[in-house]
Amino acid sequence: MKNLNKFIIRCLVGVMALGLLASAASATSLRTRHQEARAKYQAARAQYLKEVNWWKTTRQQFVNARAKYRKFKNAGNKAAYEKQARVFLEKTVNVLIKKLESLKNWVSNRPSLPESERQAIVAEIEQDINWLKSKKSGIATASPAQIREKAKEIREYWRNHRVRVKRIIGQIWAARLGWAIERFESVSSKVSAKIEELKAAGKDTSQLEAWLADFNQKIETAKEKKDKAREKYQAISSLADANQFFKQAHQFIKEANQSLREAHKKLVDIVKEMKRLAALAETEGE
Amino acid sequence: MQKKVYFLAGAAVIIIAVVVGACWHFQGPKTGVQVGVPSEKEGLSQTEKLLNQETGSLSQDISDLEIIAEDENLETLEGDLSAVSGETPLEQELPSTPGIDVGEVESLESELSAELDGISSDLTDLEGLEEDASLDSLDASLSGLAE
Repeated sequence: MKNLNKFIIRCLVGVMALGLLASAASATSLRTRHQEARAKYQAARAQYLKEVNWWKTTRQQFVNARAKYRKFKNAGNKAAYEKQARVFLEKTVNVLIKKLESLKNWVSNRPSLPESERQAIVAEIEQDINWLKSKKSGIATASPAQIREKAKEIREYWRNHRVRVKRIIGQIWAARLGWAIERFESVSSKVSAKIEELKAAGKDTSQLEAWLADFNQKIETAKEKKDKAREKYQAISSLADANQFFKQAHQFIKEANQSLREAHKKLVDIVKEMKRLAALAETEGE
Repeated sequence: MQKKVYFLAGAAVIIIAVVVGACWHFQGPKTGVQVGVPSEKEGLSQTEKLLNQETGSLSQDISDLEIIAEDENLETLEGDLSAVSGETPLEQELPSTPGIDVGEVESLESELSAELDGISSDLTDLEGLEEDASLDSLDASLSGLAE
């Protein structure tokens, strides 16, 4: 009989060990998905930076052509200047598209953003990309007046774009943290259920309950900070106030992140205590 | 519970057997009387003696059977054996060991740890996107084109 009990307890320990292995595999898969998403983004970012270098070269060529024409105003220099202006304008549109594509890539490959918000952000970015593509057509054959007109429109877009990017990043951040907070909340309810099981088995769960209350409090704080950050991002409307609001929002995001880290530390304590109680139950079983 | 019923039924069978045996035993001397050897008083005394012996033996048997019926040392054997043979899950047979699946909570903890790592790398990426100064001269350049 004693041997049978020992056998059963060993089986249980085996099941627990399998659970640990599954846990490690699950966390690894999440990390892998993050790494894959990051690798894709970095490839898009590298493409963008390559385009920036081309843009800088073209810009220098345009500045040189303009200087030459201003110095020696003849038909040949005028044609060269106009040609460089078209090439530079086209490259400017290209570099802006690549910048938006790297941002779109970041958002669309992110597994940790809610689907609806991810789609909304991607749609907003695509709208900008399409607008830029529409401005790109016709540049190759544009007259000097048309070049000036398009340059004015794109400059206006660029001024707004910087504000929009700050707002979009804020939107992404709020969604990203919202996702993480939901996962923490889901863990909280599972831990709570486990504590109830332990209590029903006659274990002293007072310490676990106190730590779970701390854990929940930290999640609540993170949620409040995330909401405050969202308010700040949504208030960004012009370049004048963009930097100030962005900095304030960024600070709230950092604080929310810090609260989640503190909540995680509490969870580590909870797991340790649960393991201790499990070991105790195993000893009693023997 | 089922075993107790079996033991009590067994006890009843033994009691019946003893009673039938006693009756059969008592019928023996009656036949002898008909033959006409022992007196009636002697027959009664013998019967009383035998009856006392049977009653004592019966009490002992009942007492032994009760002990056997109430033996709980192997109460969980059936469940244990069916668990070992794989007929029922082990957890059901061990109510005294709570289902403390620490592995599950530990798994969630690891996932949240990975989640926090993901947040850190996302924070770095987004800061990079926001602070991108590569196109800082774009505004001035476009002004040059618009002239």
